[in-house]
Amino acid sequence: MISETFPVLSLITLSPFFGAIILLLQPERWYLGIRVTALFSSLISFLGSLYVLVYYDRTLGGFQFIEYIPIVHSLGISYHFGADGISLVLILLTSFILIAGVFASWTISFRSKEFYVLLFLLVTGVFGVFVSLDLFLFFLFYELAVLPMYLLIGIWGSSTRIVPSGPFATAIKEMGVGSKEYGAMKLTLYLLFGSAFILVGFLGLYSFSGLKTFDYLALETVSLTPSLQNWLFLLFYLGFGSLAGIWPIHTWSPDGHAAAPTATSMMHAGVLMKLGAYGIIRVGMGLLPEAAHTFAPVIGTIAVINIVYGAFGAMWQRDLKYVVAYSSVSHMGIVMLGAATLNEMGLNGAILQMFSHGIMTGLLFALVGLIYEKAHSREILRMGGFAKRMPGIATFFAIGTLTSLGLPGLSGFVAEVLVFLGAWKSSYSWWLIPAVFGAFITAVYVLRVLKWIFFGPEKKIYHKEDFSELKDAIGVEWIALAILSAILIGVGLYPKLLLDLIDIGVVELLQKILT
Amino acid sequence: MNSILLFLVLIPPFVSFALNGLIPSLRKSKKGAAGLSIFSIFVSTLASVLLLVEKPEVEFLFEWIPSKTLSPIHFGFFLDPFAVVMLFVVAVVALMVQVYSLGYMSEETPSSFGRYYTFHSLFAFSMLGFVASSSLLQIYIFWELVGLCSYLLIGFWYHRPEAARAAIKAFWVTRFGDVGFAIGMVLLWGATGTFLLSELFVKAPELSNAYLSLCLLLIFFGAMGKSAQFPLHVWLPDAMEGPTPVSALIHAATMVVAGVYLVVRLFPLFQFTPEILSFVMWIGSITALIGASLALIQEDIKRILAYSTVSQIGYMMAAAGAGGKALGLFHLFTHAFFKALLFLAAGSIIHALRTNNIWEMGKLAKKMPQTTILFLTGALALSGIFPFSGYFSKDEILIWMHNQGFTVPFFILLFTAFLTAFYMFRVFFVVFMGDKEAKEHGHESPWVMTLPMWILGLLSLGAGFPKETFFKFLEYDSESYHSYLAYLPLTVSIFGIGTAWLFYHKKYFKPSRIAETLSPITHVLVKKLWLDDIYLWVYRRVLNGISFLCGWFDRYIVDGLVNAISWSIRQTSRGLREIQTGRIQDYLYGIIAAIILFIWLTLGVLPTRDRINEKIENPVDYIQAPLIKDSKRDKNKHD
Repeated sequence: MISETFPVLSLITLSPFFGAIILLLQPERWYLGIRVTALFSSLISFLGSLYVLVYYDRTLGGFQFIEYIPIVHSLGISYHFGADGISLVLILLTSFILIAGVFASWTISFRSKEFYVLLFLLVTGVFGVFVSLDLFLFFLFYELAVLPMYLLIGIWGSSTRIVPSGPFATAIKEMGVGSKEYGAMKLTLYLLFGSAFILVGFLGLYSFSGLKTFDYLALETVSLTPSLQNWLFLLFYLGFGSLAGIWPIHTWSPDGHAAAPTATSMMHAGVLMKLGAYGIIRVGMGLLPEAAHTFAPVIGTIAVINIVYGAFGAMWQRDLKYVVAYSSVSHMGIVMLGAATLNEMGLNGAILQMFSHGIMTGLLFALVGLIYEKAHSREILRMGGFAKRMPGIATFFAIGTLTSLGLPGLSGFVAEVLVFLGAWKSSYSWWLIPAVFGAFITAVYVLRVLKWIFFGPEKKIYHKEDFSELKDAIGVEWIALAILSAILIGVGLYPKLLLDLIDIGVVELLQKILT
Repeated sequence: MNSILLFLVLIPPFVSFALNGLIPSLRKSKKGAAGLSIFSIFVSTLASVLLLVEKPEVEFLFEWIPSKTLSPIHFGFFLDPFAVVMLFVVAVVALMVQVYSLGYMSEETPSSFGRYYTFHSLFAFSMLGFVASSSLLQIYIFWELVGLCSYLLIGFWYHRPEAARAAIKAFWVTRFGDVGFAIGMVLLWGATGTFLLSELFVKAPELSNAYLSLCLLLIFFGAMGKSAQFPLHVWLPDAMEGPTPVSALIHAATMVVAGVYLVVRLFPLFQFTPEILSFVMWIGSITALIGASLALIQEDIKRILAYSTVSQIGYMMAAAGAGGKALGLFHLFTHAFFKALLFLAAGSIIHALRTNNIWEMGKLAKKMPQTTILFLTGALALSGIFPFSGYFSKDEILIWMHNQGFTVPFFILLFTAFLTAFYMFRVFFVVFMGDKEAKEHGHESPWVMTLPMWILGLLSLGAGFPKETFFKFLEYDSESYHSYLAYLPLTVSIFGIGTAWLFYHKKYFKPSRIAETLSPITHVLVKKLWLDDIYLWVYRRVLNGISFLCGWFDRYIVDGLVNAISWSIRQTSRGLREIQTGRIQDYLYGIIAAIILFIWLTLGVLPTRDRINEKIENPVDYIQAPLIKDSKRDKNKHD
């Protein structure tokens, strides 16, 4: 065992960062070198996250693996890392998606070095947010996670065509909706819009608490007046909510996801959206417990809208990436609903849904990327009968979609059931009905997509006469799919592995909220 | 010891599924995949027979979802006599069907052959797990998993559009029922705090009757979807697009009766809600009648059998709803054998003739003698003729209905018994005795296909005799009646067979003329009660409509607003940008204009600071006067 004081969280967080630096020192033509470096540094993070998972003391609970180095004394800023059950699970999620993402972008030929560098900067930010116990640091990492996205989408992204219509047709046409530049810009502006609120909220906490510190553990002990709590909570809800894709400020997410390259979509839908939900739960609910009570009905109701509206929205889409993106909106609704229930079952479900949805969306986006690579199309109605030529991809796609509709034996089911139970136990039991109905609508559209793409007779793709290019995945392409599917099945069969950890964090959080 | 036996039932199919699923080379080796799967289900069957002999009560639990403030959720297995019987039925029929499939599916490519057996192993595991589940949540889990297997196997020939369509339809309809199941389950948990059946049975009486009724009604809604009860039966006939052995196993003998088993398993809860039970009974009776009527006019041999399954499950539901849970299970027990037999026999015909249409078959009695005898056995059992197994179970149900005083359902079911005999022998006379020559040359199937059929044939013949033992095993007191009633169902069935003989063998009457006379009813039946049209309308108009509204609203209104805002900002800035031309002259104009403006301002056009600070002495409402005064004063000064 590594010694007690070993900064394992720093290792996890900064390994991608140093990986990025080493990557920068390599020339672009070192094809294998770049990929091995990327894989190696993501493996370090992965091993680190396994280590903390195993050595987290479950009887003790609370934040562990604490690292504390004061940076600016006078302002109360410090380098303060620590992880509890909730963040551990999300760290694990991130490192899984990171490894899968490295494999999924293995075949990128255009400026692959820069791609990995930006991806790793982004991941550093994500890890940092999950382990930071200092709000200043938290914000720093948060911004680091958001900004590389602009370049990743703007350079490696792909465009689609959206027909302008409706009362704002001119605006839609003139703004260039559907292009990758549009997607990148929209996403960045939205998220910066959100972080403005967050920054104000953090500064508010800093000044109103009277402690002159950004330290999370110190701020936890302060109790603010209810009205102040409400205002701050609203700021956090809007700020983090824009990243979590809450209705009606979710529209960046479909456009952004659709425009992003494969690994970025995976990282984005898989992990980045969870940053928002994590922020609401950790900062919003953890520091402002009374406001969490006041706002629970609003959060829950909007979450229910997310679930049903997102599902119906996904049903209307005919572009494969948009379908997955809208399903993310719907599933993030389940996360937020679980958070709003304010009971153990619901919150456990919310965190598990974050994990499960992260892995599932990662898998689906990886598959969409593969399909696009082979068929050069994302338009569902132009595909058909692919199962014959790509049985492997079809199998994994089926696993992904079945998780999405909440099939037992896969992780999505456990999370959804927990959220449903929590919803019924909460003060607003009616949430249960639309949530379950939303799961049904999900079954309708995902199976339909599965059928359209893979089943039935083979269709001619518009600019192709022969099917010879439609091949199953080969070589490295399998790795990401296999890893992600294995996790979905493993967690689905025995969720206690993760739930034990989550439960510790959730129970502690609830003690704060409910007392 | 007993729990080891239980694991010997459950684990082998799972191992077979996992190995076949994970090792592609094993899956693609034709013999390996099938051999493993069949061996595993064989072990399960042996173990289930041992369980039947030992009749243990096993309960085994482990924690699955932890919880500190609420009670944790457990995963485990729980056996009672009903479960043991059901395990036996599932294992035996699955074994027979898997052996039969060796012949039926022999023309498949190695990879799809392996896929077929992988799905079969998964199905066997989930179905056995469903039967032995100890908690409601676990029942739901396996319930969905068998639904998945059904989906995968209906759509086994995925390249056929009808199969893909039928698979998705089956999933959607059953899933729609499961919305009810899920909500009901959560509601029940909300009130009792547990999913465990043993605890639920204890706590249920404490609940208010209305609440419990609501929960059970919702749960029964799930059972209606899965067990193809009216009006959610529409998926089952379409499910016949799957391979015939699959229809025999999943869509006749085991999975579709899961709903009946659920009602039987939850009977300790249902018994507190007489209203829901009578609802179950009525749904069952109506389904029985509608299924049998729809079977009358079908031309596809598998569809006839499918509607017959719908109808027979209706019988089971009616029995369970009327309080005779052991009777329902008994009919399930016998039905599993003879209906599987009928399907396998039909599969044997389809395998030989490559058509499903009964009017393209004929004179098979000579060409396929074994199949003929076996199909006849199944048909007699289904019609309820002594001494075949169906006679015992169906009779018991009808007598029970009568003795419990449910007169109207009794007559409905009695009439259904007549229809059952009629449509079954319609098939028999047309297919085996008819004079049309089939296009393909009919031949008897290989022994791997006939052997399982013979075993099932023996079971269909003999499964009814140990009636007393069966009821004793289930700890149920059966009474025997020796009144006119005991002969009524048999008479009705024989009458049905006789009618079919007159119509289709002797051809004394033309069926088409009867159909014309009864044209309104025929029309309704041809249209399948418009149910498919209604569902299609709901899907096309309502669901797609709402999705259109949501999607359109999101893209063009919610996101449109976002774009409109950014667009207007951009337009404004674009307008303002015109000022910045980059030409020195323009800037000079600007500077000059600014200077002029500045001078103009300083010259006192606008109130300067001093003037603002100047005290206004006059009243505010006196606006014009001061100006005049001032000017006068100025003039005076000037003067």
